[in-house]
Amino acid sequence: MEGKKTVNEFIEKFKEALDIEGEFDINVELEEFAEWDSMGYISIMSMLDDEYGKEVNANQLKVCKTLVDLYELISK
Amino acid sequence: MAIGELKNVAIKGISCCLPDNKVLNTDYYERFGRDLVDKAIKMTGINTRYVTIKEQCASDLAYTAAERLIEKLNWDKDTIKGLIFITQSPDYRKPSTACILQYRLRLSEYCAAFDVNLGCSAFIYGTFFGSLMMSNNDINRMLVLIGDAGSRYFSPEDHSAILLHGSAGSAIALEYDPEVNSSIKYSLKTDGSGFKSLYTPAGASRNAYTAKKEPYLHNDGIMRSDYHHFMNGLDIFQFSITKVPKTIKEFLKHYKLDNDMFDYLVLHQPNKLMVEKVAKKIEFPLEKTPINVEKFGNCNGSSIPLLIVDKIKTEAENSRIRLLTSGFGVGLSWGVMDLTLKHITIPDIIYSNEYYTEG
Repeated sequence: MEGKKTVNEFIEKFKEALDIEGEFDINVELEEFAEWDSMGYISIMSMLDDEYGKEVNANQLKVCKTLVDLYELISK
Repeated sequence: MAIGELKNVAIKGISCCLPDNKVLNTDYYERFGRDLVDKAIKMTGINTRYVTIKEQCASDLAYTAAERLIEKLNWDKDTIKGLIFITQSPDYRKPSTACILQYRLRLSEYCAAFDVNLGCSAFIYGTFFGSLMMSNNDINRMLVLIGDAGSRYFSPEDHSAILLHGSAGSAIALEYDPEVNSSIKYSLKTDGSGFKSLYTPAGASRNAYTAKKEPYLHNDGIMRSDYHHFMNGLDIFQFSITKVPKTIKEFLKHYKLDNDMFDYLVLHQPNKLMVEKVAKKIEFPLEKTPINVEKFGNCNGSSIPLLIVDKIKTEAENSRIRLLTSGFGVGLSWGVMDLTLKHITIPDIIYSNEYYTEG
């Protein structure tokens, strides 16, 4: 259950960072969000650093297809 | 390590000049669309910027700032023996714009003058060079001039850059002063592997025969020619929030300094988010981290002088304040400095559209 909570928390942080609403799960394709652009990358970089202490670069973000891929960046 | 201490040097005055041409970012609704502009404003915090008029060069802003500062300091021009102009927007490919400024300012022939091609790290490097040049006792007064006209060199379609950049010129007056009891400590760094994160592919020697004059579609969906400035905002963001705080921490540790020893953290102003992130990462209190990027945009090398003139003028004029300061960007080049300002001269910000007509 702990794992699930962390995933849900991550989704919430993701929504907050990109300022998006609506319900979706961790398998969602990032391309579905208009906010997933260069400004969005900056928000996400900033969020990953603030919330998870992870410093990622642009290339690591660009190859992410789904939210799972993004989540894996912090789980590594 | 380029880390060290400079003694017997004081900053005597700082002045800034902006174009008398205020631009609102909301004026770009039509060109870039309301959503995009609003989002950029929200993220960067930048509402207004001052942009050079067509005929105006960065050196014109620096020239005006210098004239006003010399006048207010009441310096005899013959006593100024050095002039450094730091810019990425020189008047010509040759000669050094500093030579033209020496002439325009009517400084004596007994004056060393040269350009330095740096951007957002200019204030730190300029204070370093200027101080070093006075270490031999032959030069007692120096002018470090900084100027850039950022936004005019980007493609008109480049929303990722245009909405962020303003123009500004600044002048810093340095004097040899054996009475000064505070040293200037510095750390200077470079990572040239990131040179393509902020660069202009054509216009100088490299690519001279292959450069495309006509704009073409780049990977980020923006039309640019090879003569336009290019900025990879993501790379710069990542660099700024990782290497810069790391260097500041390393610097503080090296000199056994503590955040509490400083009155202000004076950072280069690329945008609000980056400034706050850097402050947060070194755990410096935000209330002692002045920000003015919302009014002026990213003014490259003049951001730091402009922040001092705009936000801490009264204290710098009337008391003694210790600043932890850092400039970072194009190169990639960055630096940190521990700098004390004591009773310095600061004219009010000048707004001017004057330009050199003999060029």
